[in-house]
Amino acid sequence: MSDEPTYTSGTATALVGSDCVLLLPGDVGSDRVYELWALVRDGADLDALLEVLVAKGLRALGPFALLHGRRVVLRGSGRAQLEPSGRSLTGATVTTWAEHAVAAEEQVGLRLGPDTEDDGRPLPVVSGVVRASSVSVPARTEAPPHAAAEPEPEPEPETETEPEPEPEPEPEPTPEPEPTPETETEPEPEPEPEPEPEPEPEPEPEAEPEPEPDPGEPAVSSGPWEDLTPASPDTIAPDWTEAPARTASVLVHEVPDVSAAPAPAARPDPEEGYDHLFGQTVNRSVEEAAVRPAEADDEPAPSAPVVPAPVSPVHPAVTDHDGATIMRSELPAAAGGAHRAPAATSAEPGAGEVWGLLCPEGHPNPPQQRSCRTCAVPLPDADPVPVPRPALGRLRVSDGSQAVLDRTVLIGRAPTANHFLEDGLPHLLRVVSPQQDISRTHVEVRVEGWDVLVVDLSSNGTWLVRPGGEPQMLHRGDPVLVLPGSLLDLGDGVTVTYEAVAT
Amino acid sequence: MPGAAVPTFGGLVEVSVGSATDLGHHRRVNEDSLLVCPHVYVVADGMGGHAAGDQASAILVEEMSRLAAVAVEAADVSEVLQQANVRIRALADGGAGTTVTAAIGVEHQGAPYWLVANLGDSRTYQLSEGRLEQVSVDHSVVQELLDRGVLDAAGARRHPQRHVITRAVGTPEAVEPDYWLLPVLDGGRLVLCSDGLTGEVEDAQMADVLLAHPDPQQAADALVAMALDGGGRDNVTVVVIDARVRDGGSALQDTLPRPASGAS
Repeated sequence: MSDEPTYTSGTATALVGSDCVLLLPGDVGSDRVYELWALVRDGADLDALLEVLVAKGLRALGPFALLHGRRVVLRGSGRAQLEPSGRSLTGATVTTWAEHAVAAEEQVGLRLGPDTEDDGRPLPVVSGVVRASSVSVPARTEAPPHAAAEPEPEPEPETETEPEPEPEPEPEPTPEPEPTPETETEPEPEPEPEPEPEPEPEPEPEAEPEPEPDPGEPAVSSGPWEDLTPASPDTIAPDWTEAPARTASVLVHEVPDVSAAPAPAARPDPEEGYDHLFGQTVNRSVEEAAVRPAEADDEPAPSAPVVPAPVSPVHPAVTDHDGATIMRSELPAAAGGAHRAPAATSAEPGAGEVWGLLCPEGHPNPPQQRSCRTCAVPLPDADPVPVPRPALGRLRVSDGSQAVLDRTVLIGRAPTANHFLEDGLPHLLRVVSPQQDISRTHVEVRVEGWDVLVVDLSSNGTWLVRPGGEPQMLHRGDPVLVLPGSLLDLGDGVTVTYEAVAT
Repeated sequence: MPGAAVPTFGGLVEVSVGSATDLGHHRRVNEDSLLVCPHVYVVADGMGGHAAGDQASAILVEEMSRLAAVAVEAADVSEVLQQANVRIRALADGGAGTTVTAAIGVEHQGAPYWLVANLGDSRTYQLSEGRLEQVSVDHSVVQELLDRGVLDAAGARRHPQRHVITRAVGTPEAVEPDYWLLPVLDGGRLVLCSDGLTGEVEDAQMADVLLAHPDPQQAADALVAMALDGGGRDNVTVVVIDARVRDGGSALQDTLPRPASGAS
């Protein structure tokens, strides 16, 4: 294994710096390449790079694959293969981009575009811009990443000392960010640095595109179904936010010896996210609290006095299993708790809203837009706010029917809309399929933020033809970002065109 | 109730309905209510002390019956539920509430659909081609634990909080029903029920009973009897709705596999 980066030749453009590799589509103009190269070469931090990448707006942003330090950022067809763990990361399932932390011992193979063009012969590259299909960056064997591999011609006077200036607190299980009492609920023996951005509460996928100075993840997400979560913030958000209270009540009622249940005391500060409480952690804390009552004394005492409440007896309505249905708000644990979180978290986009900017005329625009898409007036330099979601275009079916893309559209012989809130009910487009080749619910065209994604749900498959592209068979269940001009072929002679609409 | 077929949804669908309810073995009041009118079908499970639960579910059903008169979409249902919420909260002793699970026949782009609405842990199921599928998703503590993988189905049936619901009509919180739009399947069957049924009877047993009784009224009676045999700890209410689509519903047949060599 080489200890410097290697690439295989291809049609994408690879910008290789000392601690940063960026793969862009080959058709990106050279002005743009030079602009980005200056940043890559000079060791700009991740925020600065992303800011320039999205400067033209999210919609204009093509696919890319970026490795910066030990963070991988992927959009569209950008992907990364990690070895030896064998993890595959992709940007294809995410509306904005997917960001992942990578352990130091992982070799990172970045790739953009089809696998087929790979000629499989890796060549070394230390720094520079090359035509490539993939770039492989070796594992970090020692802390100073590029100290050894630095015979490069670049004069980098001031930046070479960058010992990770990025504020990224989470990747390594460093003990310092949590000296708080919460340490004891979570034994956290997890070997992997970042337990995968699972079901984070984050209800705003593209809420904070780039002007955030914090290490916040603009859109960390890992899979198509997690991505559904932000799509319906109304159902999900309140539930997530009230989760700690719920967890506490579960603990109280599950623990046989109530006095030995210190767990509620460990309720995390509601300000700092509950990520670590979810998934298996909840499970663990419930079971452990129940299983090891004797360990109460090895808990740090300071946390105990904070919450005397859990000593409340088990509520009769809960123990008496006569089947009486009750509301959670009637439970003693929930009574005083933060139940059904204040939906008044000031400005969250509701259903039918997205983050954006309004021009003085009131036209909604994507957050990165510099001038109004409708009337070309320069937009105020303001933070994004929830704005009414404009139609992102129109679907036209070959049989003449059409639907406006102001919400999700389901297409099929007899589409079923599952589990929606009143204002989130999708449009349903029925098509005729004499051969019964088309499924009842064949394909979903999803509106997320300012993007349009298609998801094949059929048994016989859906073909996607991008403008000027080859037909590709969609992977069932995987959302794919599409642009206006794309065509879907459902079979049985039925096609659907995604048209932009003049706004 | 007679299972006479009634044409509905502008004549697109013929519906036969059966329904049954029972106090159960341990209750003095039946707090469940049900509604069967031309194309609105509802089961509501009231809760709250001092007999307020039966009033709550009765109010809900009364409000829902107004939907029979209008061409319905989800917004109409939400509005009616808001009305019911206001009235239930105004009940003298407070603390009353009710679940609701409802199937409403609607026309969507000229095709017949069931608009299913749900709040709480009463349920709507669909039986088609011999398979029973739960359509609605409970608003309950146990469902949340299931969703997070903390609990499995067996654990859910024994969980001490299995009767604790997280959304209902009649609470201070916003009334936020979930909705489904299901194409009406020719020969398909919907089952609406309170948790007095699902608390005693497993889904597989339900499916067996439903398949064994082609008549919807007999099916409803058999399901209630089974819940009573299983313990009858709670009030139990069942509505069974059979639909026939007038044109035979050709759009609703199974998708056929595509011929091997792309003959589409």
